[in-house]
Amino acid sequence: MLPALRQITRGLRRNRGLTAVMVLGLAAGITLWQLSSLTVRQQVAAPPRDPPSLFAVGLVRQPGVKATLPDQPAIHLLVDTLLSPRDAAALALPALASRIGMTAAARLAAAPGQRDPEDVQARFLNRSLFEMFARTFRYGGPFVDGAAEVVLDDRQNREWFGGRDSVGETVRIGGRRFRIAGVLALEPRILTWDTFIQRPEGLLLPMEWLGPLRPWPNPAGPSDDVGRIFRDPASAEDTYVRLWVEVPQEAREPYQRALDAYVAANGQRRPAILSARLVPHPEWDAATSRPEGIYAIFRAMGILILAGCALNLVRIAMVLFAAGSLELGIRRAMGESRRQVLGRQLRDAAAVGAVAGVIGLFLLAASVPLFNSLIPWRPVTFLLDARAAMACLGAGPAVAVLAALYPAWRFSRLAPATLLRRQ
Amino acid sequence: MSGALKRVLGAMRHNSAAFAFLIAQIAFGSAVVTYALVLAVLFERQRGLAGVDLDATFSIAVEGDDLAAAPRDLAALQRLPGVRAAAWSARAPIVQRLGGDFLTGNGRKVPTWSAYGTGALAAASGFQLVAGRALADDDASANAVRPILITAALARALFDSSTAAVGQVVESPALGLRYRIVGVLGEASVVPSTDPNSANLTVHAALPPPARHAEYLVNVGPEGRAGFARAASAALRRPERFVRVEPIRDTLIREFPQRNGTLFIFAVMITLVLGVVLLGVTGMSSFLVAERLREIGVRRALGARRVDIRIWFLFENFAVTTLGLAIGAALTWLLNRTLVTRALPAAALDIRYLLLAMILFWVTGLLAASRPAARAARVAPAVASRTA
Repeated sequence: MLPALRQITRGLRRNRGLTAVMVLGLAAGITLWQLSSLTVRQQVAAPPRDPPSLFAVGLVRQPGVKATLPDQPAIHLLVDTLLSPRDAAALALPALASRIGMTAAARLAAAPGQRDPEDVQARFLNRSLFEMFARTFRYGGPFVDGAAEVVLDDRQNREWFGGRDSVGETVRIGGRRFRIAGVLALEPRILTWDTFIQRPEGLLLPMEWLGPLRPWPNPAGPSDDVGRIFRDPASAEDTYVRLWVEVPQEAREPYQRALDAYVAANGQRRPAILSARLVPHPEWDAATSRPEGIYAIFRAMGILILAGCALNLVRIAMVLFAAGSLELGIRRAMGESRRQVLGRQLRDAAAVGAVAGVIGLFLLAASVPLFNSLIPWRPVTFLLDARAAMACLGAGPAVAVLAALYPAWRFSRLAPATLLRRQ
Repeated sequence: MSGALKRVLGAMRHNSAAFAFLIAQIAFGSAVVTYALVLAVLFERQRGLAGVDLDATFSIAVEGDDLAAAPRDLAALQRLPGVRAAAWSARAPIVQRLGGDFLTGNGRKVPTWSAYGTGALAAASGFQLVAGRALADDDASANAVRPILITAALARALFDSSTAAVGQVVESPALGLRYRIVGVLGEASVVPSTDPNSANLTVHAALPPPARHAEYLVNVGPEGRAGFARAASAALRRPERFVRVEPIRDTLIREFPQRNGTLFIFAVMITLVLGVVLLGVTGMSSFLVAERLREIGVRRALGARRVDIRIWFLFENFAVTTLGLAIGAALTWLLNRTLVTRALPAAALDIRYLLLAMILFWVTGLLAASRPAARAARVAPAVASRTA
């Protein structure tokens, strides 16, 4: 094994420049391919506690934002499952659901300790949602519904408290003080309790504070009176609350009947309510846990770049083999078989690929955090996982051997005299 | 020309595999570069709002426990030097948008975006009124048929002309509301032009409700811009109150922070692809020069000038690159059909970026081939007499 390695190294050292181009080109291609691949692969939904029993309550209303995006049923689903606060309150049926959780996103100006307030992405929710969506905590635990308590996500905790245990510290919102009850663990998957999130949500508060803190809603649908949600919340049609319910099998039909009765009783409202239904979590998941379209294009570009780097390798291999044709000719003249020549050349290529794979892995390890910092405000924080590492290490030799196959085969077929004459 | 082309085809037949790999590499590379350019421009477009004067219009966000501060804040802002118009806006620019709607009128149905605010909202945003009148705060209390402003683009979509739209009544079927068009704005938008309907905007009058959060837009003349952010912050600052004052340009930068990173990543991709192609073409050209030393010598002996040899190699490279780009264009079109238009319709192929990518590749190819071509031109006619 060791002599073989030495031989390979000696052979490659003879053409340092070309070997370096081969290795670095392939390493860069592998890095971009795996980076683009893991950004798609890791955008998967974090599974909830009990997916078959979990439903989002949806009200199908007249077009709204669906008008400008007529061909995107996934967006329609997301819009239909945003409810006005009054609808959410009316359709939360504790007699039929084993668990109920409401949630709404907002921006709030908040600050830890004595610092100046800053604009943070916040989420109002019921404590039950932490359980329904199986959230784990790094420090502390969930807040008590209605209490002056908040939960921070891992990123916000790092920003405000340097990542230390901040449970018991204070967060100011206006003149109010909130105690930090817990810090969420870093979740490397998409949280699917809501969508249309423009930034990672750093601050989570009890749903009961939505009224007193009066954050400005960002409804999905048009409104006939943009200020009514503050003047007369009971009649406002701004849709920005999601309602999640866990409904046992036997209660699903009665729940649907209750929804139908609600639609019938609210026929006069504008935008008109056309129908209502329980949206199963898998259906919701299929619409929300897909990566944004740009990632699919990015992945295709990554594959094309790797293919381009492999083609580059083919051509460099041809030049390298041509440069070494004297040695090949002598070996063939000394009795080495075609198969042995082919094997030797493929082994050299595999060695180049292995080195490229290792360098690619190092480049990827540096690229993933760089990507996270360059492209902020995504639904997940990307991590270098074992699959990406294995792919780098495996793809290097595999791509190199594939790329070298044709040149190696071509040169192994040449007669010794032809090889010697080429020099 | 046809003789030169024949020579190129002959060379390609002679080294068919090497040329095929180079052509495939150029094809793949050009598809990547075209899409990197398309996506880079798409992200760049996020940094603009049609019709908004990005430096003259300031976005102000305030949040505090005083629910009735908006009228006082507006009065304070209007008193600041250089202020041309100040308005309360129902939505923070860029970040929060009222969902789109349809407007029907003149038997047509057109998708629209909406902006709500006090009467001066359009002026504070920097939108130009081209016909009719501006909105006033009183318009917010109109009940039966509500006065609105619409953009010229929306007016043309509904009534074929801007002037014909003034005085017309349109309807929102979703909300069951009727609106009278009292004025028409030139170019105006509240969402970047990446949205296909961004030019169709309606502006409605509304009054600030009792809320903890308020957004203001202020249009400031050139003389007042330098000190405006500091003056506005001082005028609005209270204990435990959040105040942020910034030109809309900075709001766009803050709200689309991924743009710089995205451009960096695409720049890395383009550099990598062009670098690999550069190395590939250089290697290929050097290989061809080395292989044809005798042929070059014969040509030189038969009277070919150095420049003829140089042109021969450069033309060969140009022809190979062009063939690769033609296949690359087909691949790009295929990608556009099968992936891009489904995954991200806003990034659909624009022929200009395909042409730009082609120019990049031609220039890279010629640069890469120029040194080997110069080396070939230096080959002496005597080389022809040497035995191989």
